[in-house]
Amino acid sequence: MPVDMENEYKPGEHLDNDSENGVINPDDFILDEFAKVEGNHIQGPAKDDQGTNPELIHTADEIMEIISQSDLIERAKQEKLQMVLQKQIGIFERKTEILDRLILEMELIKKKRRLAKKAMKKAKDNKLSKDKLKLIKTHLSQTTEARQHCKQMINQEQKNLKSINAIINLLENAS
Amino acid sequence: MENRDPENNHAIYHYLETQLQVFKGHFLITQATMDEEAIHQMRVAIKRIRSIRKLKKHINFPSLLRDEQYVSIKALFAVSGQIRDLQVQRTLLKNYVSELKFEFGDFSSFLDLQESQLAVQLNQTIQTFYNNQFSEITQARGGIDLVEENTDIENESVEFLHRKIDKINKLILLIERDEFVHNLRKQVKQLFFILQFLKNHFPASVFSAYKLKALKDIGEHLGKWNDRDVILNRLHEFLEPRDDIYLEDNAEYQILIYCLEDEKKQMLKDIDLALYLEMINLKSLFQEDYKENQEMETIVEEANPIETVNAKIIE
Repeated sequence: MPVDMENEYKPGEHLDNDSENGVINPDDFILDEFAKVEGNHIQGPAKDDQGTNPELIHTADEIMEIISQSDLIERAKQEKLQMVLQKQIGIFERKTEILDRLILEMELIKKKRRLAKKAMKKAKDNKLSKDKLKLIKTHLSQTTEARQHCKQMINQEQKNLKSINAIINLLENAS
Repeated sequence: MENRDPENNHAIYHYLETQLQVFKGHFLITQATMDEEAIHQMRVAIKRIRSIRKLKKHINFPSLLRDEQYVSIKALFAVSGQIRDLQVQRTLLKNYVSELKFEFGDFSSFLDLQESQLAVQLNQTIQTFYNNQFSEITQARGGIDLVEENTDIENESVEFLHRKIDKINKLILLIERDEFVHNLRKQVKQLFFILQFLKNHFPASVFSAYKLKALKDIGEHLGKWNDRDVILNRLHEFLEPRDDIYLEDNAEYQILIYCLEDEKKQMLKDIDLALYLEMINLKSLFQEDYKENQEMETIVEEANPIETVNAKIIE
């Protein structure tokens, strides 16, 4: 038996000892009763050479209170986790909508750009004035700029979604 | 600005009567030939009548037109307006065909079809209008005798014009949005017609000093903006059901859209500032006149205070 197990409380043991002396230690009795109810082997408080250390012994009420507090803390933790998770799912959904809209916008910009290119070709074929060519060129460069801007925003949103997704996975594993 | 001559008050009736005669003449030509210019002139006469009608609402003098007659005129104005817009669009398209060297054949056919449908609608409206209302309009001349002698059209018009100017000033701030430009155009046109009327019929008044040219130029710019806006909307209406392949194969329509949008911008360039300055100019003209009147009243009061107070009490 290891040294630290020497002082282990053994149910029934103290009753025999104490009954020999005709005195029952009430704290030991409660612990014993608790062990019976729980069906577990409860480790008793460290005992000195005489076998008792009343200052270090928790009462059954105190233990119940600690267990109850731990339950509450655990429940609160789970609720908090669920709340954060739901919030992140909401953000994820909103960001997905934004991304969908941006993709549609990108399609529209690409369509405008294709049209502007075709218009430029037709304008050149018809030898339109410099003013008209300049006007079409302005529109063409506007679509280029819009495409770049939209692309940046799509990339950013995709990154955001990836991060949020990672957070959601983490929270789901933790809960 | 002492102007209580009943003859001056009759001016508004003479003016309305003249416009009704002009309207009648062009109406008959429109009915017979659907002539483009006749439709336009008929509409201008209606716009003048409507502007005076707005003034009338403010001053409240008896009307030459019954309400139901006015409603019919408005209906005729709306239908003829649509056909007028189409005629303007055809002219504009012709110019673009020559400038851009594209035929725009499909759009031209689309306009043809719309014009023929509207011509039938206008014919029907003219017929109904002629049968129900038109023959009675000229019988309303007796209204002149109903004008109260103390109605001071000139003075009361100034107050009306102040309100109109305030409205225009507010709309100038919203010039970035098309729907407000449409409203601004209408307000400027009404202001122009009312000022034109007052200037012609009250030559000795404050209105005679005002030069209409600047306002006319602004109105014309806004009119050109409107022509381009209307054709652009029609073009979108024509292109909307077409697929991407059609749009790419006929990219000349995109060039036309670019040109129209650009010209719309050009038409509005600096117009807000020009119009704002014109409104200040107009308002200061009226305010000077108002101050002069106030000063005159003070001099009269100082010369004979008791009589003035008594006169005010009686009034």
